[in-house]
Amino acid sequence: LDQYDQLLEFCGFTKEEARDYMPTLKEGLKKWMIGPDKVKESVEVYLPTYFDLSLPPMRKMLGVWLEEFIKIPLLPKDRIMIDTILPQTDCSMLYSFKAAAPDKVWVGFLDWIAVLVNGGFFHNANALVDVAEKYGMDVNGALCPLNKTRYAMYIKGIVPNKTHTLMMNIICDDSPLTEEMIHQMYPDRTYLRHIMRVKDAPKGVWEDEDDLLVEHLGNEIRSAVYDIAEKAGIDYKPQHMMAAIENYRMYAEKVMALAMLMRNDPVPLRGIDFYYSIVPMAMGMDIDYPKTRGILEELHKCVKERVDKGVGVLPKGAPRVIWQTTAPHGENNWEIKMFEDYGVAAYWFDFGIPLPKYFMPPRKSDPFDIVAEMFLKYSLNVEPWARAELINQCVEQEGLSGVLWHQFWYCRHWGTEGQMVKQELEKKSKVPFVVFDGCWWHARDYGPEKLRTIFETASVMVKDYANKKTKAA
Amino acid sequence: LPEIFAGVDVGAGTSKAVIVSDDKVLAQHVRPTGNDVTRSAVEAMEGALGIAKLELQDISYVVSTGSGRRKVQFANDSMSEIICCAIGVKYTHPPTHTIMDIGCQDSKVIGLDDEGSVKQFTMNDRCAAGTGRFLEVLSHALEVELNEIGNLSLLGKDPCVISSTCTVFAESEVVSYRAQGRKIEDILAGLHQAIAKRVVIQGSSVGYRPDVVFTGGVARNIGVRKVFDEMLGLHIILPEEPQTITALGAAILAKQYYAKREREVSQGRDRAPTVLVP
Repeated sequence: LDQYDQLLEFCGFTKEEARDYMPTLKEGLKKWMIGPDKVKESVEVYLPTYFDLSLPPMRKMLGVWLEEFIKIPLLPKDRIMIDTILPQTDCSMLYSFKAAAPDKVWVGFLDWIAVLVNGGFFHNANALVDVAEKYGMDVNGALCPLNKTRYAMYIKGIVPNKTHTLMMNIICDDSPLTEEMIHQMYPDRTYLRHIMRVKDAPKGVWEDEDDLLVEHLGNEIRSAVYDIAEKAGIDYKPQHMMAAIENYRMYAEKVMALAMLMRNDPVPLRGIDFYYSIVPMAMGMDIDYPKTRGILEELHKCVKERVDKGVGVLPKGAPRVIWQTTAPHGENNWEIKMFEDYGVAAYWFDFGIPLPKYFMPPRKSDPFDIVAEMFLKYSLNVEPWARAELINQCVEQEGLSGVLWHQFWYCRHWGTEGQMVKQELEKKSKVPFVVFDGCWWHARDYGPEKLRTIFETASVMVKDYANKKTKAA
Repeated sequence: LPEIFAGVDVGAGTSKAVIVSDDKVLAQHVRPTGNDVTRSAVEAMEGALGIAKLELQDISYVVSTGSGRRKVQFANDSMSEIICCAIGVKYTHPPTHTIMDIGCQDSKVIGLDDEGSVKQFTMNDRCAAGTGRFLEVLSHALEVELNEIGNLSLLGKDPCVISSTCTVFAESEVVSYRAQGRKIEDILAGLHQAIAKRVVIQGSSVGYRPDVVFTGGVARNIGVRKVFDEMLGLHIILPEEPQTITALGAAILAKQYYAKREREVSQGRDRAPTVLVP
């Protein structure tokens, strides 16, 4: 087996499937500027180190990601590309276009897919950031590497067709600025549509419970979706959004079933494997959702077997923590693994897992208002005080022993929100809340040894807190 | 014979070894880390062993710490320097609630609870501003010996305003002030204010609950200590050996680890594996 065969084997392809897919794989990797050496590093180091390849459905899940990644630069010229800036968290908006025109449309979150596979599988995320900086984006600070990745994808022709971009002006002002820049440089290759929502609800007002705020966002979504559909030439109807909501709900239920298994002691699945399984729910992808749901079911079955046998990836009694943001760096899956090596289960993501509130039936009946309401229930999207409240609920209900907040030093929004949430949470709880600095997308701008020191210290704090809790109980 | 334990702190600038027995420090040794981290750890340990007139096999358990801790091949275990610093400081000064630690490339502010456990901490990343390296670079630019700048800065009557955010920018400013004919003690006083300001802001999310203890190589600089006193309005406490206190903490931790291992062995179980499923 050469490295390409090995890659497909690790990604759950049968021999026959691998034989058929191999030319596509090689063509796609070439477009992504990933050569044989990177593939070799991937199969020899990255994939076996960070992913649990002993689980066949986990391999298949990696296959879903790989195919999604390879597909982008090879899309047919007539394929309509509809993408988003920032996580959708509720990906119904994107998927509704897929429901309207399944054979005509590609949907997704370009830069995130790029980072999670380019970085997470091939340790190659820096390559695109370097391209962006070579072509004019500021080196290091001030600009989000995620947006640099997107910019580089345009420069290198990895994005093959015109994109219709839904810009989630929810928490970030850097992404829209980047997209505006791309729009100016490639006016024929992008169409931008903003969805506006300003986080200005007064403290104590849960936005999803406020009709005015929900309906305002619902109108924004409705207007943007119809606008995009018109520009893209798609016959769009409200039932497509309903179909997308149902699709989303079904995937979310599978994720929650897996999350329930993760509550077992010992924790039965590594955080990184869990993460790559749940993210399709939150980011909007062009994947075959029914097929991926099936893989999740298979994974659930395997994990359940571990639970029944009483085995796990950490010793029984290992303390658990909740992460802010998508904990694994695209480039550095080792962060989660490092916590696990220190005996702490880091798997509960306040971004990726809907908190219990999400599963209460929506108050609204209009499909666009439903999406707005759901969106405003997500921890990621609420005000810092509300986020602290939701995280606190999760800490108490799940018996967690720490909150880890990965602060992006370059990010105007998340660079400050961490401290605000921390201050709020500390009014309610004594649970350790560790804010650590780093870059989400690539590994150039921080010292791994310093992060190791921070993680090791945080692990000691978490274990210390867990021990005190146990003694007190 | 009493059991003997050692802690080795391999930092970016210096490597430190401390040997303890019966809760007393038998010996300590500090040497530059240089390019070979592994070698410098060995030499720091050999230095301490020589002072104590011991051999490595006399040591029951060794814990390494510092940024090079994973390269200390003779260590039985390792632990982050933040935890070891907290243990060392709590041991020497139990009422401590806040530690300001400034080493060659790191600056940290550590909050402790009443029991001495780390409650919060911040640590610089990427940038050398606010670290010993900042003072090292700028003392070089001013052609003043590093160990003289603290005392000289105390003579400054009109401190220069110097950037606290970047060592490179600060160096340009120093060159500029020198060209303007500003007194060297005023430039140094400004430098000390800059480094202190940087660290005070860095630790604002942790807070400065007394007693506040200052550790690390930079703690030996009286100029920085004085500025901290003024900025925080507190009397900052200086341990007897601020540079080796983290290694001391590692040695104390070595004793705890050794006792735990002995307990586990006597109970017929080894240390629990960290990963059950490959």
